[in-house]
Amino acid sequence: MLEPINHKIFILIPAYNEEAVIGSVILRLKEAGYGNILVVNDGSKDNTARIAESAGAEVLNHIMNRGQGSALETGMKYLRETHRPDIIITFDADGQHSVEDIARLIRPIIEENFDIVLGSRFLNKKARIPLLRKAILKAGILFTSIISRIELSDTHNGIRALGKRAINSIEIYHRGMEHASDIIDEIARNGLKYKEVPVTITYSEYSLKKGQKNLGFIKMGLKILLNKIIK
Amino acid sequence: MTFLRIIALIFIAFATSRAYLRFKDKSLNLANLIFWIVIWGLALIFIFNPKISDKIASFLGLQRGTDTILFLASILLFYLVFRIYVKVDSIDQNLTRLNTNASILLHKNSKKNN
Repeated sequence: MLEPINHKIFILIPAYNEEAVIGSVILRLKEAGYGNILVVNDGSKDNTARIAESAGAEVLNHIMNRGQGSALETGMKYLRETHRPDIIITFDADGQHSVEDIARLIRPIIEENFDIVLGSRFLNKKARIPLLRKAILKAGILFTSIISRIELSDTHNGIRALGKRAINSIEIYHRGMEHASDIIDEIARNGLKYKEVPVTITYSEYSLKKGQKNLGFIKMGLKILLNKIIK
Repeated sequence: MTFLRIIALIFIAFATSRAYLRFKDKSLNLANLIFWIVIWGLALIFIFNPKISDKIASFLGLQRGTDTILFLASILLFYLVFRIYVKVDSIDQNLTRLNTNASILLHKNSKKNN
């Protein structure tokens, strides 16, 4: 059994106008021992790129703002072509993910040969999720189980670990927040071995303001449905 | 001929000529040219022989010929909006791909130069 130290692990952070928190997110990751950090700066208008770079991350700049899904696709493509990592961790830039959860996500890939491990806030019994957000996320879970035919307890959580097979086979179609559904579709399409592990999401005033709006989830569902027709 | 029919005739002649010119400069394929000729041909039939719309109305179970025209026009509009959506989505996808590839290329080059 290989120890995590023998694996090339990269943290992939899509970021858009996150100058207020990106520096501290990177520093926390570095302190925890994750030295390989790629920030895909998605056309930010603020100092996100400069702060991320001075905090010690490699920063790849999008020419124009295209959305989180596109930033992840760019990051994955770049890492596949250059660094060839064994594991990629996708991690939000707004500080709502916990660095301590990364080890829990990596372990099933190394020890149990899972291809992809998804973070779930609902498996964590202590999680404190705003009620309206919880109801919308549950509706999203039902929607995904109908569309993708994969049963998950949390479908739109940005923290996940991708092993080699997932890195080389997952393609993200939607450029916006709908990419989370693409990843689930790709798990089904490629027959990837997946697992969910409990993670902690810290909802701060900042992350709720920056993150996906509740109404946005409805728009997202409609877009996914429409694109299922034309795809 | 009523004034409205003359206006409609001028518009149809203009639209058909535009489709033909776009076909000639190869920005419209033959299938699309035929599609537009059929659409404007049907419009001509409805304008100069409105009674035909009554016959189609009774066939479709509608009461009046004008309802038929509105019904068919709505279907055509939905279809065209859908086609535009597909086209916009395809352009959007290409733009995203272009952005990804160009950003990676620029990043690799800047790393090489440093």
